[in-house]
Amino acid sequence: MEICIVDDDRVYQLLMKRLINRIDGNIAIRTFYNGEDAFNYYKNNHCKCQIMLLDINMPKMDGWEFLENINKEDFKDSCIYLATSSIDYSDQERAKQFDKVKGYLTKPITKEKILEITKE
Amino acid sequence: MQLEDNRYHIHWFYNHPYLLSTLTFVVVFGLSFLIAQKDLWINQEKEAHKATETLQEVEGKIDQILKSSYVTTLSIALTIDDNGKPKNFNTVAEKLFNSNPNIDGIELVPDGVIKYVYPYEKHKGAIGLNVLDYEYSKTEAKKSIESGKMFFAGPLKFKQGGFGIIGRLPVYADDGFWGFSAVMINLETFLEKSGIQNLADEGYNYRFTKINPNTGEREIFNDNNSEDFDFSKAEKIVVEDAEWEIYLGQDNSHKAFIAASPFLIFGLFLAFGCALLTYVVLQRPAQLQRYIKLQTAKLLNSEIKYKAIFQEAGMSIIHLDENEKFIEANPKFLSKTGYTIDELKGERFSKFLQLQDDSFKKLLNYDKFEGKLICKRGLKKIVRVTNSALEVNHQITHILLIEDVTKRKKSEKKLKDLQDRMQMAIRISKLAYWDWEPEKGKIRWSDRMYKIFDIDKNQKLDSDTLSNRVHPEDFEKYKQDLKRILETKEGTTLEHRILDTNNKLKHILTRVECETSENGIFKVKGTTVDQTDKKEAMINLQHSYQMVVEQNERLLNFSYIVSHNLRSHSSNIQGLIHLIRDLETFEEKKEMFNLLEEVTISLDETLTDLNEVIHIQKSDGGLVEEITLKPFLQRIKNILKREIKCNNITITENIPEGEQLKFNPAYLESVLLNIISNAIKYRDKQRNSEINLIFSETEEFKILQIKDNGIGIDLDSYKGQIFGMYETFTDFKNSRGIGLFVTNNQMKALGGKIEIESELNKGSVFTLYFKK
Repeated sequence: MEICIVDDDRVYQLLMKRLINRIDGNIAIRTFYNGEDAFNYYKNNHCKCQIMLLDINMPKMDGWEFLENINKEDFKDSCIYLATSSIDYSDQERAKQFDKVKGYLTKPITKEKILEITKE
Repeated sequence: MQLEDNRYHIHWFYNHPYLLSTLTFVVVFGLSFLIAQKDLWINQEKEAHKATETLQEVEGKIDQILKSSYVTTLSIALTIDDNGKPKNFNTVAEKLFNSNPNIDGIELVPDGVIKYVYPYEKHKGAIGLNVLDYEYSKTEAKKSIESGKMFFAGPLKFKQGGFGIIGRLPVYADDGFWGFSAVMINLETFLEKSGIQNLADEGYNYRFTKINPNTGEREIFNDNNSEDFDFSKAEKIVVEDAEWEIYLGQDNSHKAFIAASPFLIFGLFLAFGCALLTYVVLQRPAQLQRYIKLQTAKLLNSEIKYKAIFQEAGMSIIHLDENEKFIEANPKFLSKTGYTIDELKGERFSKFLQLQDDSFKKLLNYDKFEGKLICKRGLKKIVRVTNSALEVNHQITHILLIEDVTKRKKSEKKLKDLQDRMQMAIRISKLAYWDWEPEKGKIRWSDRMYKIFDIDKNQKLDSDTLSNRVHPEDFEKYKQDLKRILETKEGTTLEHRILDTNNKLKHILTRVECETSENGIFKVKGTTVDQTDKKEAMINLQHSYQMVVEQNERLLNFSYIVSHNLRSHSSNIQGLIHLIRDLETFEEKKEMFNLLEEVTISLDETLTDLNEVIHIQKSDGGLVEEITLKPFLQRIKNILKREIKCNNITITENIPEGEQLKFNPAYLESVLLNIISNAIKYRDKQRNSEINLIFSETEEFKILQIKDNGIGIDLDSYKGQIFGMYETFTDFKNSRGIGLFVTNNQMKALGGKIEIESELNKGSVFTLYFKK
């Protein structure tokens, strides 16, 4: 199993790595610091991760742009979750427009939430 | 009727000038012919009388010749003595011959035989002739013996030669017949002395004749050589002593006719003249007659028209006598008022009219008046009456046209009300109106217009009056607008600023309408309203709105910071604390605490940023001062001295000495530090970094441009986000996305602005606009 984290917050990334490791040491974690890096990586590669935690607010390419630009086929085996600190209602509404988005997660991401999404 | 007939006859004459002039010609010519005829007759009478006189004269002369011949023969006979012999015949005969010019010879014929003759030479051939035997003379000689009186024989041929007459006086002696004493007269002499010759000279038609005693035939001795002669009609004298007959014919009538014909020619001319005159004289009345006919037809026509108008007119018409009493009223009037003509006849019109002004004593003295017409059921109608007097045969009547103006009066009142209301509306709305004829340069302004421009009402207006007052910044627009209106001739709405005579700025709104009248005059007109108050209020409102929008934007930014940045920190803290609780080893917990510290530092920075943002929004620009650019820049460079030196940055300036800006020094320091430090932070490490500061200005702004040759920004991607809060475009650790946000807000707070141009890997240009 592989989880991909796209977020410019270094602290958050470290936190998530620790958390996921504690749940299951076998879960591989791939990290990108902004949407552009992730997009470039997956541009021609089939996404092998089952779960992607995508932040909205990032430099260069934000979460929305990433969602608009990616090839759906490449992510057909992946569940994309928006993971953001924004509690802005408009962001939640906007997320519903993307059928690729499986769910909207509000930070902080707890152990329980990860267990919940990994179970599915 | 008789007059008519007479007139008709006169007309008949007038109408036939040709006939009448012909008649005149005939009458005048006839008269002149009669006169000529009379004249001819008188002439003939005169001629006849003259002929008689002439004849009588001839008769007298012949008588005288005969008498003198008798005296001569008697005298010569006395010379015969008792012996029957003449004594001193030659001497006596010579004396007698010389004393009597009428005779051509004397002879004595004793016993019928010619014996003594004088002049001897001339007549000697006759001596010895026995006249009683001589064929030519015997009959007459015997006749003279028988009668015993002197008898003139001939004219006959003398034996001695010649042709003439012989007067023989039988002489008796004691013993009886002695012989003859005779005188001889040549025919030429006789004709001359008797005056017969003159008859021919005077043109008489005459004959000198005698019945030949021997042959019994008429012999003609002398005439005027004319062919025909009617003896029966001729006047004649008979000389008994010679049996001569002298006839005078009246055959000279042609001469009388010729004498009369000039008069006839004159008569012809006179007749022709009279006829012409008649024609000319009659022609005029004929023309007049035709004219009268035409006029009569016209009159008849107008009468028919008048009747038609009177009967069919859509307007009420009444006919009054001079005492205002009804003579006639047309159907329209009757239907309008409901009266019948019998009800009106003999009534005064004033009875049916209620005048607005009692001073109208006698209605018909006025050409026009207004009043209320009282109709049958007491209904009143406002009418306008036009009166025209009509004079026929010295009798004055009046035709009155009555126009129902009730509706018009009502609409006039409505119009007046509307006008009053409009005037009031104009007064209240402070609307000014004007019109302008560009071709004539005629301008008219309402009072309000003068008020708006603060111009004296007596000042003369021309096209410069207005254009001189247009605000200099709007003048070009004003000129364009004016040009457009005159070209397109279409209405439009314009807004301009003007300066009144006190140089007070006013905003005016003008609605323009164009109109070309039927006679081709192009007119521009419209309304103008002083909207300074409204405009200022609107500008204020716009400012307020702008401010609200900006503040809302900032608030959004603020809420965004709160929802994103602050929450990201708080969620991190939450997450870390959760994890720390779960962790067992100290090493692991220590790592988490380090992270927690990092988060708290970030949180602090965010709070500082927020503070800064709030500070801008609160301060509203703070204190504005005149800042001299060059020294101020020097201070900024001092602050950044270390970074400039370390990174080997070249800074050049292109700023005039002593150039100043109106700005808050703290803001300016913040703005310049932000942009210059950004230029250093995002320099391109592949090349020597350069920063250029360039000054320029426009009418409104002083401009400072800051150019760098750094890494640049992809403006296509980030155009709208550059000056947003927490917008970062690089992975630089210390890019927080707050500097340009603050800079933008500081510029805007003091009426300025900031713009950016940039190209990736080439560099960026930040342009700062400072309000003058």
